[in-house]
Amino acid sequence: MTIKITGTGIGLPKHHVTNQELAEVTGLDTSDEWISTMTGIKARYICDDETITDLATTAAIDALADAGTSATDIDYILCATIGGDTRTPALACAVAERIGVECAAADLSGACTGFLYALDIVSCLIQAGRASTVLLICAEKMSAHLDYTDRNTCVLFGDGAAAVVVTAGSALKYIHVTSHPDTQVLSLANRMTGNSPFTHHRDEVGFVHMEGQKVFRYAVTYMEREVVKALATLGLEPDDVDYYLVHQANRRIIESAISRLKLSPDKFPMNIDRYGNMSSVSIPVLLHEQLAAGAIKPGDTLVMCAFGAGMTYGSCVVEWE
Amino acid sequence: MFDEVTQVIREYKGDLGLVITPETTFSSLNLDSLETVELVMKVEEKLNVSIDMNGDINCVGDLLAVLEKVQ
Repeated sequence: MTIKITGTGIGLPKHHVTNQELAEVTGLDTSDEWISTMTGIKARYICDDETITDLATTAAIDALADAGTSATDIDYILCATIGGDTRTPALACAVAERIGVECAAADLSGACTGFLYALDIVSCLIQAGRASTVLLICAEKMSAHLDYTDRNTCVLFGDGAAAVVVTAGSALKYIHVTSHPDTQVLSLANRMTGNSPFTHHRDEVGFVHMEGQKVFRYAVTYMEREVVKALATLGLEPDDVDYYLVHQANRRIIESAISRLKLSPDKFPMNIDRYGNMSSVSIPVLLHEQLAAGAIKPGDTLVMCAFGAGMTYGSCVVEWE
Repeated sequence: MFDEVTQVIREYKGDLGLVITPETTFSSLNLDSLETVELVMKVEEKLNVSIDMNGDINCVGDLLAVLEKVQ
């Protein structure tokens, strides 16, 4: 017995910001052509009056409806997020309050690999009998962490949320998460400052910092390594996999990994052009869209693979139920 | 090592007649920052080495200098 995903949902801000609008509003020396060529991104959703709790709650309700599950059946809410609207209580608690359930609720910081880290923990909870119906939510308000005077980073990210309902099943065949300790190349400084008279320094307000070339190299290397490891562990050939759902950070990272793996691009659905990099949210949104489009069918073999700050990375293999 | 590096560059660019010298910059080959990383990764694969990209690698000579340290 492992687990299966019984429903998916998403929550997005209203405002879909094109590259052109982003350039105009920020006044940055950038263009649709440059952003599209370098990243594959054409637009992204950015919050105006929505809170991250709004997005997460919308995704949760959508996923519960898709699963045909009542909120009262949930016995655990786990949110993968860089941070909710409050540092404490957790975003998971805020969602529990909105949907009116009393159950275990906590957040997990796994950066862009957050969905896979959370799925790993959920599988342990269910297999150990500590939970039976888990609401796994990924929600990120990346726009709150970006320096909109830095054209190299602010164009890359988008806001959004996605949720999946997880129960006992036999879909998850393999999951592996790990990290390589390098906290410098991709980071977000702490915004906590406080006013303790005993503290000798104040953390400065931080923005996402990224060393693009190093992140690119890590991402391509880890994606290749994780896919090879997952297939080898299960004795699968690349063609045995119907879809590779990989973290949507940059189209060129994905294309480079596909080239090194010598796989067919047709098996790598992408939506980065419409969403940008939504960190932990990207894989479950991609999954939701592929299911909604009827592309994924019962029995299909899916490989999911992600990498993120840490550097965290991981993969899983699911035979869709 | 120069010959192996130039071979990787020519294959990457799809131009086996490409004239390359140590002074040839990656920007003059119309390689952007991410393509330069891809190229470095292919050189690593070809020579079975790991290249430290902490310093500036702007031209073929820069790459050769880094390779000499790790060989």
